Amino acid sequence: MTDSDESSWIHWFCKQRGNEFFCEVDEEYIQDKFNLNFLDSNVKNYKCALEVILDLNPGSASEDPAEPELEASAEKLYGLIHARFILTNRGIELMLDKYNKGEFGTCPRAFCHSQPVLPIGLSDNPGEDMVRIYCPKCNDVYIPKASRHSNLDGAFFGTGFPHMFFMEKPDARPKRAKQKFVPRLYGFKIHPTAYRTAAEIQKDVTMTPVGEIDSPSHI
Amino acid sequence: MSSSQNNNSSWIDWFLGIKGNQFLCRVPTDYVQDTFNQMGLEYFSEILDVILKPVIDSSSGLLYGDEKKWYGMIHARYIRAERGLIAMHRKYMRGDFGSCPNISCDRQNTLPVGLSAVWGKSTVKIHCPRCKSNFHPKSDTQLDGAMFGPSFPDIFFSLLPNLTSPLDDPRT
Repeated sequence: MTDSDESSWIHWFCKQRGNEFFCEVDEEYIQDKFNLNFLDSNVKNYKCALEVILDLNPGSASEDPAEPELEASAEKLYGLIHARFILTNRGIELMLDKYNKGEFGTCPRAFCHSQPVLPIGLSDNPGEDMVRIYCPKCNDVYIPKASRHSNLDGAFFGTGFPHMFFMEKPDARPKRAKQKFVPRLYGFKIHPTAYRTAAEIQKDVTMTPVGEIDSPSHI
Repeated sequence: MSSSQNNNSSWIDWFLGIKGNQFLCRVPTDYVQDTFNQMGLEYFSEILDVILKPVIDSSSGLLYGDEKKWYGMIHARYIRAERGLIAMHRKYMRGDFGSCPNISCDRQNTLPVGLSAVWGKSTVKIHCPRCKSNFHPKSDTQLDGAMFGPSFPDIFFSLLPNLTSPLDDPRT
């Protein structure tokens, strides 16, 4: 195992297909025990997983857990560390760079005009929901377009990341979208009564006095 | 400019089979042939001949290039007719147009919508009846929005009101 950053586990992991949303957490951040408070109860084989992430594993110790299970623990631990790191100044800088490059995708809403988005979790607890994307222009949350990005746990980014991001970088916040879709039928706006259900239409018709039927016109 | 090696398909068969054209439904040839449905569309008889020919092959020679546009404008009219609405309803229920990307809409099925009735303005979008917003389709389709028109979702739900529910309408 070399010490080169290019061959580190963190670099390898972030380059994996489907992990494009992750940024590379500084090793110094992970080495600070303060930043890992309470994570040991969330991850099996915590100590070994941490050694995998920091490339401290000496090699073929026979008492180590099976490779796939250890790899899964390392990935989960890295995700939980990542959720904390991206709330720091350094993490926000790295995520700002990815945001400006459009690496998180664009808003699917037509009138947001391809506004870049940020990843957001709906829960801070792992295993509850997958990562979503937050659009700062329409202030709404969407399912990522590429299915490979939907496979990440939302807790690896956290519920508060976009809001911390824009508090730290208010200049990066775009103006809110003012353009709204106005439904039109042959050029005319749709009256709200057109959105009634069949049951409501029936009720209105039966309440009309006999002899004065004036049903709304239908195509 | 293209030629088909398949001797068993019509132009419409070939066109609907192109990847990225899944949103389109098949317009019956009798609808295309009815001159009332062609009212106001500029066309050359050669284009109509290509579209209506039951079998195309390499001997069809040069295609005139506007078949796609002409079929698209007829398609925009057909999907407002009763037969077209029934066909689009089937596609809507199957989820052919994709689902709403907004997480609040719980993968609501969507409908195609154009932002303009004029050809060449913008590509087709999908309309969610729950949040009433328009989105870029997930599949990378390049169909023109005029092939569906801006009125289609409201025509669809006006004629099929049972598909909407008070719980889905934020205005109620």
